[in-house]
Amino acid sequence: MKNESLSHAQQVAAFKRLFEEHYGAIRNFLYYKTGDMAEAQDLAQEAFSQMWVKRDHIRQEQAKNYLYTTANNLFINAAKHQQVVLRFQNSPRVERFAQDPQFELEQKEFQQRLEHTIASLPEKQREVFLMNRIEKMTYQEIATSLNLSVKAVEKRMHQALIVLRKLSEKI
Amino acid sequence: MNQPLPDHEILRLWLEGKGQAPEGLDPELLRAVEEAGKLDVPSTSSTDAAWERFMQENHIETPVEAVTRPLWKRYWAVAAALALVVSLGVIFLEPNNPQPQQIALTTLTTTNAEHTSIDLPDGSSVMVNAASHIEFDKENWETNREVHLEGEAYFDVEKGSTFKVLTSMGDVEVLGTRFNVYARKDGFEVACLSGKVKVTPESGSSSTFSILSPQQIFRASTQSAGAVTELGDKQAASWRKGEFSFDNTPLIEVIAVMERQYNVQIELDGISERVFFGNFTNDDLDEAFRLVTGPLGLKYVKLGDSKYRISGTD
Repeated sequence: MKNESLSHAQQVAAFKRLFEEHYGAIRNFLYYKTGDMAEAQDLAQEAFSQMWVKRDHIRQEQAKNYLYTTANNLFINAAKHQQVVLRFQNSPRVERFAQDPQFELEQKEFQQRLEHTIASLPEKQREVFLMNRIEKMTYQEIATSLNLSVKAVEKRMHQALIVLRKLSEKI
Repeated sequence: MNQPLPDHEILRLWLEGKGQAPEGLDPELLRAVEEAGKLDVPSTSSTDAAWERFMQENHIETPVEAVTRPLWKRYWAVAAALALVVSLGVIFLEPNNPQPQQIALTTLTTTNAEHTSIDLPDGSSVMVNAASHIEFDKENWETNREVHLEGEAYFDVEKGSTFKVLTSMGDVEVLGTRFNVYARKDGFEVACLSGKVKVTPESGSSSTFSILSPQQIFRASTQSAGAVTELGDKQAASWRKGEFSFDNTPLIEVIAVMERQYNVQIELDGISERVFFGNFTNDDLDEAFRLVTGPLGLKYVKLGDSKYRISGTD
């Protein structure tokens, strides 16, 4: 009995480390897909809950892949998604520009067009692009997480860049 | 007006922060990519708060060290714990305490447009394509490595006792290997990626089986009894990467794949006897339509929500 509860405590501790390591990335991944932070949080919770149930059968090195796969399945199985609207916040800007109202305005407009264009990307391109840009993941890391070939990641990044290039043509 | 983009390798090094921005890159694109790198998701609750919620939702107790407490407090705690266990027991099946006599098959069903992987108890894994169903007995797995399959799945099997995939179209036996099984109403295909795979189609007696080596594929359809051919340098089970390629495939089968992968319905307007060479991926429906209809000189129209029609141009 005592041993059992001890090993349970160890299991919880190990799972907590896993949770702390991956929760943020999985939640963000779901945000890139859904554009809805509340839903992203719910689905991320659900992904970890499913992993908790299956914890005895998942090896440490499979955990990350399992989480992304489960998150993706949960997203697909969730109700149909409406047009995604993404909102971002910016990291603090360099101060010297802050005084120039002309620059500020132009910057704000650019930002809006950028967010709009990113939101308009097909989901598969958007997630790969933002995993690279925001999560700072390498192509290899993205490929491993999503069970894709590096070639497929390359292709999606390439397609995303082609859309972004037309940013200035969009209003 | 736009320069072609630099090649993948140069883009990759730049985007991974290992190299300079490529020369001659559209300044607007350069700026967009750099600005995107400064974005962050909207502020949200902390990981600590998420962990609290996780423990609560999954009824995980905070592990505490055993401390000696007054007797009455302990009784109270035991009573409370018992009440909790009893009430939970009604709602949940305890996953770590299976009834030994009970035969509970683990099942997994995928819908259209869904790919799922599942690990088997011995560490073997199965990746299940859209609109498919698998079943296996987790409790007796050690003595009984059998998976029932309808649809299509890719297996990566750990070495061990005989591993069987049973389908209504035929059975597949291996020891430890990687292979893909397609078993739907319109056909039965087994592709071997490594090791040896034994295929016994349902129609034949048990003496008519085929042994596949890597890069060999067994194909049977409703019309043909089945034969083994070489895959050559073609990749088996590329559906795992979301890629679907076809070689002299009846259009009606190609359309069935599109319907499953995109969860759409497609009518064929009197052209089902055409065949298709080519490929598409499962991440861009319009592109898939163009790739399929273009070379065949066909046109496609959207009829309504997830409904399409392909017809000849007349």
